[in-house]
Amino acid sequence: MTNPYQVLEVNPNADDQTIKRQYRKLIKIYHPDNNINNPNKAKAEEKFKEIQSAYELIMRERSGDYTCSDYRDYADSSTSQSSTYTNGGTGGNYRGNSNSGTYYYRNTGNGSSGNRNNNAGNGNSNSNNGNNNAGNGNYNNRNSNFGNSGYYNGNNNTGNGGYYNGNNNTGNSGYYNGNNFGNNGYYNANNTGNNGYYNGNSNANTGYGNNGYYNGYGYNGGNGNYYGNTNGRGAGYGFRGGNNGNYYDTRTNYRTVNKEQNDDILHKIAEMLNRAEFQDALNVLDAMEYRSDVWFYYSAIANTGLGNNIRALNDAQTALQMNPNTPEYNELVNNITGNAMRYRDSSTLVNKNDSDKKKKIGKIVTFGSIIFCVGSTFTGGGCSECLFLGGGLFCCL
Amino acid sequence: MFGYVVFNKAELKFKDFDIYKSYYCGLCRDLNDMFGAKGQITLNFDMTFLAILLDGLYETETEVSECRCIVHPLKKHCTRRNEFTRYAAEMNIVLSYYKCLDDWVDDHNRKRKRFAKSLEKHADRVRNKYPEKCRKIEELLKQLDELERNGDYDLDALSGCFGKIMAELFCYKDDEWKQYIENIGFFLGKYIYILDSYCDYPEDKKKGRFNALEKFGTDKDKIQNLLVMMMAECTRNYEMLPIVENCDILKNILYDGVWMGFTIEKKPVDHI
Repeated sequence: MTNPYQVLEVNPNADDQTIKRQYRKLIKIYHPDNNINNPNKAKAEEKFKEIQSAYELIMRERSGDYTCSDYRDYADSSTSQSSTYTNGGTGGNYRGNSNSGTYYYRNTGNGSSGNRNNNAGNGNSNSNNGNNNAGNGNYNNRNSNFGNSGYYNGNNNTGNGGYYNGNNNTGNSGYYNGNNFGNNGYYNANNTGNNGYYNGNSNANTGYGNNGYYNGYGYNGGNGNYYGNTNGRGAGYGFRGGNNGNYYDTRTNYRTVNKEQNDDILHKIAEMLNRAEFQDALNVLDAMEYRSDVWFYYSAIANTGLGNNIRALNDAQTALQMNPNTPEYNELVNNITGNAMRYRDSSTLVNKNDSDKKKKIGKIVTFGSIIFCVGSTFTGGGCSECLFLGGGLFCCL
Repeated sequence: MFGYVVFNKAELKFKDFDIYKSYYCGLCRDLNDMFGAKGQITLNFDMTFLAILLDGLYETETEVSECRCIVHPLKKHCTRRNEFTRYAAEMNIVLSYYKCLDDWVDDHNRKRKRFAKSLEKHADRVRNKYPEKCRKIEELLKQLDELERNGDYDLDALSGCFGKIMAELFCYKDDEWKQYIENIGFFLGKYIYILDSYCDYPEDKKKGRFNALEKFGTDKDKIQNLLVMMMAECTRNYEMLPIVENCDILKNILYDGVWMGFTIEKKPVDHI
C-alpha cells in the first residue's frame, strides 16, 4: 500500500483527532451508499477500502498494539531465522478457530492492505488477506478461500455464506464455524454435519451429526462433549488419541520425554498461534509438563489473544525472568505495561494521593436549581428530592 | 454491578454535562415509551455511556427535544433520542432482568424477584428481537455462576465471563468496528467485575459469600494495577475508533469517571 498518510491526505505529524476528522470526511465522500449513482462507483469503492485500511494501519501503529508478523519459532534454537510460517495473517478473528473464541483482535502478518501470494479476484476492502484467495468479497479472508461472501473467513473455505468461518469450511451457512462441513449451527468448530451449538473439535471421530451443546474441544480425536460423551476413536490430532475430550479429562497427560518431542510440539503451537487458534494452542500448552521460557512466551501470546491479560502478563514476565536477554519477551511485557503507563498518564484520578483525589472529585454541586447527586450515588444516601433512591437521577428543587 | 461507569463532574465542562444529561433523559424517555414506568426505573449510567459511545461512532440522526416529567415537573429538560438510545433501552431491560434474577438466586431478595417478574414480558420482547445475543448472555451468566459455585478464583476467567456479557451488550452491529466495540465492552466488563468484587469484599467476607478476590487479596495498589490494566486495554480499543463528537465526555468517563467507585471505596446504590 502507498503511504497511509498520503491516502488520508494528512500530515504524518497530525494528531489523532485530526486523523479521525479527516477519515470521517473522506469516508463520507467515498462510501458506497453515497455513490450509488456515481458512474465511477467501483473506483469510489476501491478508494473507500483504501481509506479504511490506511486509517486502521495508522491507528494501530500509534496505539502500539502488539502485532508481530510471525511468532518466532523458538523451539529449535539451531534455526534461528524468522519463522517459516508465512501465513496470510490472522485477520483479527473475533472468534478464532476454536470453541471459546478469541476476544482480542490480532492482525498479524500483513501490515498494510496485506494481499499476499496468489490472490486473485478479491473484492476485499481490507487487509489481512492470506494466501491463494480467490473471489472473496469481504474482510480478513485467509488462505485458499473460494466464493466466500461472509466475513472473517479462514483457511480453505468453500461456499460459505456465514461469518467467521475458520478452516476447511464447506457449505456452511452458520456462524463462527471452524473446520466445518455442512453445518447449520453456530460456533461449530471442526465438526461434520452438526446441527447443534458450540460443537467442538471433533475430528476423525464417528460422532458426526452431533446435536448436542457445548461439545468441547475434542483435541483428542474424539467428541469433546461438554457433558462427557463417549465417542472417540483417537484418530484426531493425535496428542491424546482416543479420549473423549472432556474438559476435565486428564487420563492422557502429554508427557515430553525428550527435547525433540518438546520442540516438535512447540513448532505446532507456533503454527496455531499464527492462525490465531489461541484456545487450541492453550489447551495443548496446558497439557505439557515441561515448561521452558518459550512455553511461557507462547502461553502469554495465547492468553493475550483470549483476553486473559492478567495471566498473559504473568507468563510474559516469567519468560523474561527465565531468559532476560530476549527482545521479544521484553517487547511483549512492554506492550502490556507500556499501555498501562499510557493510561495512567492520561488519567487524573489514578495514582494520585488521596487528598488530591478528593479535590478532583468535588462534592455535590448545586448549580442553580439543579442538583446532581453524585454524592447520592456513592454515599448511600438518597437525595430527598429524588423519587427514586440512588441511581443518580437528576433532580431539581 | 451497575453505576461504576460514571463521569467525574469536577472535570467535565458544563456544556458536556448538559449533553450527557440530554442522552440520559433521552434514554429515560425511550425506556418509558418502549417499556413503561417499570422500564424507566432501570435507567442507569452504564447504558447511557453505551448510547453516547455508539452515537459518537456512527453519528446517527438524533431527535433533540425537550420534555417535562414527574421528576422534573418545573423545568423542561433537553433530550437526545436516536437508534442508540433505543438500543441502550433494550439492553437495559435485558441486563436488569437478568441481574434481578441473579440477585434473587444469590440473596433471595424477594423485591428483586418481583421486579424481575414484572419485567418478564418486556424482557421476552427484547429476547425475541435479539435471540442469539440473549441466549449467549444467558449461557455466560450460567458459566459465571458455575465458576463462582465451584470456588474458582481465576480472575481472568471470572471477570472475563462478565466481560463477554458486556461485549455482547455493546455489540450493536457487525461491521469493521465490531471487534473494537466488543473489546471495549469486554475489558470494561472485566474492570467492573473486579472493582465490584473489591467494593463487596468486606460484606461478602462477613456473610461468607463467594468473592473473586479471596486468593488475590485486596491490597489497594495491587488491585489498582489490575484495574489499570483493564482500562488500558479498554481505552486502547476506544482510541482506535474515529470518534470526534462527544469525545470529552467519553474520555472523562473512561479515564476518570470509572475510578470514582474505587477512590471512594463505596458501592454505588442500586436503583430498587
